[in-house]
Amino acid sequence: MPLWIPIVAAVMHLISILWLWLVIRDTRKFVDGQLWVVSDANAKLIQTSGLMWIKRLYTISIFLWIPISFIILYL
Amino acid sequence: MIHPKLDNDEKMVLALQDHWVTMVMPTFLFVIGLALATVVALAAFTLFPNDMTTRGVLLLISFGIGMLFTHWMFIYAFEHEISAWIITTKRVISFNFLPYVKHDVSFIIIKELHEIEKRKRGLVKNILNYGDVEVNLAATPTPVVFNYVPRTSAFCNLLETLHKKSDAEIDIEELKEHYFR
Repeated sequence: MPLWIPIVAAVMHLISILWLWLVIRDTRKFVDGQLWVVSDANAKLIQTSGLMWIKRLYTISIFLWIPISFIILYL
Repeated sequence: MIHPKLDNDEKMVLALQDHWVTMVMPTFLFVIGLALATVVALAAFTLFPNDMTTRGVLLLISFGIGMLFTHWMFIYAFEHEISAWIITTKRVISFNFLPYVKHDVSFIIIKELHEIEKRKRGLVKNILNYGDVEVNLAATPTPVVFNYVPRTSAFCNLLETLHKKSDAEIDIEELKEHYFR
């Protein structure tokens, strides 16, 4: 396999991870701004517990693409 | 600029999100996207077993499709999770969020409510119990529309109760119980 193919795959993953970081950063900025609006504990709980899970799943699934793609490339 | 910080005598009643039905289409398209990526990858292996360059390019396309749909689905998951209405004893604060696209925060004052209209048309909306609520305010000519409101009738009742009752008469626990009944 030509060398440029795994290099392009690596660049794609880097862009993907950068976008993941940007989305999480933007989300955190908005939620932090939102939580001072409603200081009630219930609102905090509702707004953050599900969000933590989405963030974890998102990160795991994006990072999972790295081993999956390289294993498939070299099959 | 909007500063919807709660007043000292203002208490939160409920925090609501859009109905889960808003996540059905992104999830469905995510599954379609993954299936498409798998088909492209399988085609690369079956059609070009010896041409490593073409196979590699097709696999890159397949990974691109898979990653794009993964990002797309989670961006909508963030939208669903964060876009919410916070109903307080005085206001309905609406948060509308989509990363890098929408950062909206708006509120309506419940005492200024003029008319509430519930719209629940169609089989799916009535079976899954969600719909749109159109609120007319005394001060503005255009109505404010809340889309994908879960338990639409209870939502309208809640707004009406908050509109009619004075602060002293409002029992938050009773309102919550009534909404989730």
